[in-house]
Amino acid sequence: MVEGNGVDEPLLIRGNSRAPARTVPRRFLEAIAGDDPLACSSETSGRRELAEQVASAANPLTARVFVNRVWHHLFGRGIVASVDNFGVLGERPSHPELLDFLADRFVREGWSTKRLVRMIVLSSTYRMSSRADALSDEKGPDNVLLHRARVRRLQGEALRDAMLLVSGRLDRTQFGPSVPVHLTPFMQGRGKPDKSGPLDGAGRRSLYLEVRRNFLSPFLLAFDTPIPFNTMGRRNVSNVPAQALILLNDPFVTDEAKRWARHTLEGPERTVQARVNAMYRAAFGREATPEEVAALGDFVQGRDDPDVWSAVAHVLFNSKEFLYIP
Amino acid sequence: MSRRRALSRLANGFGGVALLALMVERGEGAFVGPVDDRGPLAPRPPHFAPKARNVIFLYMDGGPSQVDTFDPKPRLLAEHGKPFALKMEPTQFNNNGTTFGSPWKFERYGQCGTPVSDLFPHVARHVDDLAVVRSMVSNFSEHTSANYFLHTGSGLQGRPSMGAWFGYGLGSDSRELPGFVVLNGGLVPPGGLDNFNSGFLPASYQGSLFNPGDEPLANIRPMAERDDLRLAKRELLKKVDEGVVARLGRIDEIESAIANDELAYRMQIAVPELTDLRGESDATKDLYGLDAEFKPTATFARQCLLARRLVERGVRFIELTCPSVGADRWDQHGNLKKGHQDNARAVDQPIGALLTDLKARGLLESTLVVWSGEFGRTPFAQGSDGRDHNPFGFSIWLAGGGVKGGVIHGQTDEYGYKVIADKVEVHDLHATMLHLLGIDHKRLTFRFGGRDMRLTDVHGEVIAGVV
Repeated sequence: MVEGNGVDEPLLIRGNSRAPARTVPRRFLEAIAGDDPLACSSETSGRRELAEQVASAANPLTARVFVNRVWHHLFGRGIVASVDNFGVLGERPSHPELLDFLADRFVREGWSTKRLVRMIVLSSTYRMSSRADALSDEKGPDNVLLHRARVRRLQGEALRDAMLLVSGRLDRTQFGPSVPVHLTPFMQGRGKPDKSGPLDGAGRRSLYLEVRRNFLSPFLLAFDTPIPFNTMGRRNVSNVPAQALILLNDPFVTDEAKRWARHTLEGPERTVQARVNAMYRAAFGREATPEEVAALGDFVQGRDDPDVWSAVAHVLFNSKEFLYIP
Repeated sequence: MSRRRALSRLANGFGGVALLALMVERGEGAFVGPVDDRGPLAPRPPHFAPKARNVIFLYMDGGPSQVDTFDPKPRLLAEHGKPFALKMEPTQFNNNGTTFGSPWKFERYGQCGTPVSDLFPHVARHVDDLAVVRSMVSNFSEHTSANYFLHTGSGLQGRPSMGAWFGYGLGSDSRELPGFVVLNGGLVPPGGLDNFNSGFLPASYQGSLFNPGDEPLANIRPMAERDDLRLAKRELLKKVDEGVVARLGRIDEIESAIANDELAYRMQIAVPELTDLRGESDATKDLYGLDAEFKPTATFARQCLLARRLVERGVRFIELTCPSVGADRWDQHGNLKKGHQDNARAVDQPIGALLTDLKARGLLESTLVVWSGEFGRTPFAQGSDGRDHNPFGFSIWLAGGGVKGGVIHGQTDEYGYKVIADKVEVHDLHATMLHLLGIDHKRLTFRFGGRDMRLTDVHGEVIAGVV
C-alpha cells in the first residue's frame, strides 16, 4: 500500500456531494479520542496514526469487540448481542466483567485467538447441555444468563462441509486456487461463467469455493451465507421451506447420501445395528438409541441394498440433529 | 417476555411488530426483522386500510419508447428528418440522428379518450382502467444501473428488490408458495437475479424465479426415488425427528424446521398444480393467446395466466420478465419499427387478456398492475432508424388496486424528450405502490449498516394524481 496525501473532507449535508458544509479534520471515534484531531501532518494520509489508535493499549474497545465476536460464534450470541454496534444504540453487555476479563487476558496473551478459543471451549459454561429445564426456562426464557446451551443451526458452509465429511468425500487439502462455482439452471445473467464447476466442489471445504458476486451458490445462500457486499458480524438465521426443499431434493445432497451409503456398506460393520451406530457416530458424535436402531432396522429390513442405505443416509442428512447443534 | 408471548399480546399492527423486531434484534441477537413463530411470510397487518392486496409488475425490459406508445407528439412528425430542435444530452452511443416521428398512429380510446398507439390494440381497450404516467424519470441511462434502480430504489447492486420489501412488510397469503415470484419469460434483465434479490433482508423474502417448463422452481421436483421407499422414508424422517424433540425438549427452531418439511412437501404438490393449465377453459386460453402463432406471444400468455393463478393463490408480489422475440428486448438502438412491433406483439394480447380476466373475476380491484420499463427512448434517432436511451421522460401505466382509471398524469415537452410537469421519480412509484397496499413507505424500515433502510431511501412521495 502506498502512502498518499491527506485531505480533510467537508461534511456533506444529507450525503449530497453538492452540498458541502464545514471541513471536518480527520480523527478517531469521538467516544475514545474525544474531539482531538489525529496527530498527523497534512502530507500523510493519517492511516498509520489511525491504526495506532485502533491497536493502542489505551483503547480497550478493539480487544472487547474481538473477544465478543469469538464468543458470539461459539455461543450463538455475543456478550454484547449487537456485535457490530458497541455504541450508544448498541446492546449492553450481559456479563460486562467477563467481557473485560476475556479482553484483558486476550491482550496479555499476545492477541492469541487459539488460546482464547481454547479457554472458552474448556469452560463448564460452553460444555453445558441444551436440554431445557422447566424451572430455568420459566425464570430466564431468553437464556441470556446461559442456564443452558443455545441450540444453533449450522451455517451454510459448515453444513456442506459436514455432509462431505461424513460421506467420505471431504478433501482436506489446504490452500490453492478456489473451485469454480457450480451453476444451476436458475443462475442466469450477464457475466455467467462459460463452464460450471463440479457439483460437489471437488470435495473441497466451502472455504475454497469460488465466490463470484453475481453467481453465488444457491445452497449456501439458502442457509444464510451472506452476500459479499458488506461486513457482517452476525448472520441471519432463517428457517424457511427452501432449506427443506434443498435437503430433500438437491442433487448434491442426494449424491453425498449415496456416497455415504456405499461407504457404509463397504465398511467393516456387518450388522444393521453396527452400521447404524457407525453412521450416528459419524453424523452426530454419539451411538444411536435403542429406539433409533429399531426404527432404522424396520426401514432396512435386513437388506444390503444400496438404494435402501442411501435412503437412510438421506434421512439422517435431513434430521434436525444434523442441521442443528443440540 | 418470550417472542411468542410478546406477539400474542401485540395489538399495534405492523409498527408494533417492527418495534418488536428492533427489541428482538437488540435483546436476543439471533433474528433480525419481523420474524415470528408463524414464519417470516405469515400475513402481517398493513399500516392502514389497503386498496390492493397483490401486485403484478409487468417489467418491459430494455426501455419501450414513450413517443411510440402512450405519449403522442405530432411535432416530431412535423419535424421528422430535420435537426433536433432542443439541446441533446449525452446519449449512450452518441450517434444521434435527426428528429424521428413515430412510425405508429395514435387513436383515442374509451370514455376517457386516452391516446394509445397502434402497438397496443388490446391494452388500448382498457384505458378507462389505466392511469398513464407520462412524466417518469430515472437517475440512470444505462440498463444495469437503471434496472437496479427501478427494482431496488438504488442504482447499486445488492439492495432488496421491491417484491422482497412487500414480503417483509406484509408477508404473504399463500401457505404453499413463496411470497415473491418472478415468472421468467426467458430474458433475465441486465443486472441479473440481483434485480429480484432480498439484499440485506432475510433470504426468505427473495424472489423465486419460476422458469418456464417442468421444473419451474429449484429443487421442487421430488428426487427420483423408488416407490417402495418414498413414503417409508418420510415416515422414518418423522420418527427420527420426533426422537430428537423427545431428547432435547421443545425447541422453537427445531419445531419450525420440522414444520418446514411439511410445507416443502405441500409445495411439491402446489407448484406443479399451479403450472398445470389443463383446468383452464379453451375460451380463457384463447383470450390470453396460449396457442398464438407468434411463439413469444404464447410464452407471455402463459406467464400472464400464471400471474392470475398466483394472485388467486394469495402470492403477494408477482413480476413478469419479457420473452425473447428473437431480436433484442425493447432496446431498439436500430430497426425500431420491427423491434418494437415484435415486442409489442409478444405482450399486448396477453396483457389485455390479463386485465379482462382479472376484472371478470373481481380480482382487478384488489390487484395492482404496473407496466414499466427502466427508462424511455430518445425522440431523435440513433443512426437512421433507432432510438437511444432516455431517462429524462418516459411513460408507464398502473391499473387496478385502487388506481384511478382513465387518467393521464404528468407531461413531457412537445418533443417528448424531458418532463415539464408533475415529475415522477422511481421512489415516488415505489411509495405509491406501497401506499396502495396499505404501507407508509417511511415506516417500512430495516436496520442495516447502522441505519434504518427504506425502499425509498430518503425520498418518495405518493403520486396524488393516480390514487
